[in-house]
Amino acid sequence: MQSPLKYIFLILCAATLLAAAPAFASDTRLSGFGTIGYAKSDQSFNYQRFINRSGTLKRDTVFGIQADTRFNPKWSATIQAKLAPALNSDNRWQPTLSWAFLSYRPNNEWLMRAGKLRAPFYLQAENMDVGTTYSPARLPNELYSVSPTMDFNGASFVGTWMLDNSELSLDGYWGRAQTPWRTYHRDTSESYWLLLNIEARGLSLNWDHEENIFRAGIHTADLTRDDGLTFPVTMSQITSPGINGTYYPEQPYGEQRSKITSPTFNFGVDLGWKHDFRTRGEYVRRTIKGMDSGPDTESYYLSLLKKAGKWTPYLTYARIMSNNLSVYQSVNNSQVSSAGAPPFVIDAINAGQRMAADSLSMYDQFSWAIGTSYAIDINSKIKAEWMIVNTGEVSSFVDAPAGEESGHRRINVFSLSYNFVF
Amino acid sequence: MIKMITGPISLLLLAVTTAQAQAGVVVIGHAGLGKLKTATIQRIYTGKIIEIDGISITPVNIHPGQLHDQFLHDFLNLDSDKYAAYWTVRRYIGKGVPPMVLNTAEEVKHFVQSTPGAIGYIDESQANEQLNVIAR
Repeated sequence: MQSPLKYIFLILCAATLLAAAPAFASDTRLSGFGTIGYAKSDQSFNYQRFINRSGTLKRDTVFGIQADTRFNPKWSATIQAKLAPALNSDNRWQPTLSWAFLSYRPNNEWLMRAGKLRAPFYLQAENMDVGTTYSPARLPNELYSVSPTMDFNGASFVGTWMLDNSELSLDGYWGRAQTPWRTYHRDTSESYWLLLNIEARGLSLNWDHEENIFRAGIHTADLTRDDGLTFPVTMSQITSPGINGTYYPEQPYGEQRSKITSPTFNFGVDLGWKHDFRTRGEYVRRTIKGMDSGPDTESYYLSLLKKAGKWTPYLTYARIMSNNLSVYQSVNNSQVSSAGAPPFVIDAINAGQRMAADSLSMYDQFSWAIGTSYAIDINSKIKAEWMIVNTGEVSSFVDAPAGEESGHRRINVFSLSYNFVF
Repeated sequence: MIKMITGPISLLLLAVTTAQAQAGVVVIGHAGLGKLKTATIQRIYTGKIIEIDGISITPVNIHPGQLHDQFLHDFLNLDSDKYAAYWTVRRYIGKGVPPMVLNTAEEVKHFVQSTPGAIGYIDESQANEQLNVIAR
């Protein structure tokens, strides 16, 4: 993981260059955004890393600044830095370089960008950090957490075609990223991060018709472990002398792969209705090729919003489910007994089964959220939300207490945030 | 007698003032730009069009106020809040920034006349024969 100081240095250099070269930088504008968000649940354990009954600012708080420089009508550059809780630590805040790309727009139809940029996944993927650009207190985590990252070093293109009263656009991108993948081991109450190297590419087709937006995308990501270790193709059980039963070994066993591929499909619709009603829904299908224990999931949500003056109340239902829960159940329920092996060996094996289950990143939950945003002015909003989360068999969003399960729980989450841009 | 004079004068002043308030917005462009349709103006001011017939277009807005609001209503069918929200989203998805903002009609006229491909808008009452009116 690159040092944040390197990013800050790069940002300062870029800002100095842009500010000190007026002849070169014809139009540079600074802007910023932020959310000060407080969330609290009715549970002692953490949900979504930080939310518990003590309350937290970590889940939703973020600050960002952006510099846009227009060299001429065809060339421009954008840099965005962000301050938010670190992705590889539950205790630190970390500045990061969200975007740093050069744009070239040769004509009305085409836009090319190269550098560090965000992939066009979900309807709100590119602006998900800017709370004033949408009404819900929090975008549905069941869907917006599916991709471990949406920021890549690479290139993208956008082709846009004006139709009679609508607009059709095709986004394409390729890029690489390195991102941590968090797992929580409940019996040791510790978080672990697996550093993943990702190479992704995708296409997203968008149709904007009056106030309605339709988006469909297909994406493929190749993942490798930065520590050089492998992914198991199949979770295989073994037997050992002195042990009754079969169990999943800690060391890599059976066929392994150094690289796995995850094709993902998404579809989203944002519709405007009479009387300022809107409905918004998205569906994401994430698959894992060649591995039976990866995060193979289906996610979707549906929101109903109603604009009433400065208020926009909303209701959202969201769902995520792993399609290979049977693998989790088999690993999590795997327990052995002694046929001569000493107790500490049995205890270690049984503890290892639960730890292995925690590492599988499985999901089976749905949530209802009701809330509202209030637009103080065009640059700021206050949002409040009550969300009820129900977990089924398992949810990796829940840091279950030691000895317990993440499944079959109900969690109430109350959220309040102030969102602004300048 | 005085009432007979001031009455009609007041009415005349009221009529003139009302006419000025209801004066339309005209879009002016650098010399060489032809007439533009409302739909084209809309797409320019929403960042969808950057060039016309090979000429790079540089739109400018005037400082938020009545003229700005009227332009948005007449040509973009938006109010100022929706226009600002549109550009906030567009900025933070990395697809550009809103047109530059100038403070006065004189600044708009000077910029448009001196910048190839520039377009702006002013109150119709401030237009003169030296300006290239490309839409009204």
